[in-house]
Amino acid sequence: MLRRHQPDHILLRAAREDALTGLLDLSRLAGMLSRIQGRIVHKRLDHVSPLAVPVMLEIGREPIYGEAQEQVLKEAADDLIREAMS
Amino acid sequence: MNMQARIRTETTAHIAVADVRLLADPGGVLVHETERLLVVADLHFEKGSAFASRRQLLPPYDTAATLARLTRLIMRHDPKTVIALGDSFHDVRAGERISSADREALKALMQRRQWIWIAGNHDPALPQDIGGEMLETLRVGALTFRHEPQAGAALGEIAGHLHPAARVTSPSGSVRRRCFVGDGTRCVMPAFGAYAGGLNIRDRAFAPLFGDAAPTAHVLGQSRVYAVGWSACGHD
Repeated sequence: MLRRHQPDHILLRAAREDALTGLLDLSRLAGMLSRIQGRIVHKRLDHVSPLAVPVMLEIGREPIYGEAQEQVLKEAADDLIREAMS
Repeated sequence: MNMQARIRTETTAHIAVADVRLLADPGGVLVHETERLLVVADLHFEKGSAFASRRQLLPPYDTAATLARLTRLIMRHDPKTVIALGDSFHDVRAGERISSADREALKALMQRRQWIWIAGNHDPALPQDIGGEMLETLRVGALTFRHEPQAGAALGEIAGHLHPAARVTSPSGSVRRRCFVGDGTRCVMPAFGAYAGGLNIRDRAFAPLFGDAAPTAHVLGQSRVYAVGWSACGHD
C-alpha cells in the first residue's frame, strides 16, 4: 500500500536499507567479485563438493510466493472434486 | 479449448445458498446475476485513521485501496443494486475523517445504483450525507442479508461479521487466505476491507452456524475461487 501511495516513505527506505545490508551485504559481495575477477575456475563436478553442502541443504527451504500458493489451493480443491466423484 | 475460454471458466465459481446460485468473485464479492445484485461485506472504511487517532500509526490509505478494488469489481459486474453487509465504516466518526477525495469516489460509485447499507456493530449509524439506504436486514426471494450470522439454522442467510479465513494444507504446503464459508443453506462472506483481518473458520465462533454437515470453504485465490473441503482446512 505504501509502495503505491508514498513510495519514498521512511519505512520503505529503511526496509530497503535493511535488505541491502542485513540479508545480503551487497558492498562486500561487490568487493569480492572484483577481487576474484579473471581468476575464476569453472569446473563441473560429478558429485557435490564439501563446501556446496550447506547451499544444497537450503534449496526448497525458502518459500516462493505466488504460483506455489495457488498450487496448494488447487490441490486441495482437486481433492474435494475427487471425493465428490468417488 | 483456447486460453480465453479456460480463464473464463476458471474465474466463475458459484456458491449455492438455499438453491440460489450466486457467482463468487475471487475479489471477495457475491453476485446474484438474475437480480443484478452485488454483495460486499465488512469494508471497514477508515480503519487506518481510527488506529492513528489512538496513536497506532498505520498508513492511512486503506479507504482508497478498498474503494479502488470495489470500483474494479462494480465495473466488472455492473450491478443495479449493491448491498454492503455492515461494518462498512470502521466507527461512527469515520465520516468525519474520510478524505474528500475518497468521499467523492464513493459517491461516484453509488451514482445510478440502488445502494443498501446493512447496519453492523461498528456502524449502527451512517456518516452524514453519505447517501444510500440503511437497513437491519434485507430479504430478496429466498435470501436474507444481515450483518451478524444468527446462531442455529438460518436458511438463505448471507452474512458477514466473522471475517472467515482458511488455513489450507496440501502436500505442497500450507496457505492462509480469506474465504466464503457455506453449507448450501447459508454463507458467511469474507471481509473486504484492506485492513480487515481474518478469523480461522475452525474457530469456535463458526461452530453454532453449521450443523453436522461440514461446510465448504470457498477460498479466494489470485484469479479464481477454490472450493476446499473441511478436512483440508486446518487450525492456525
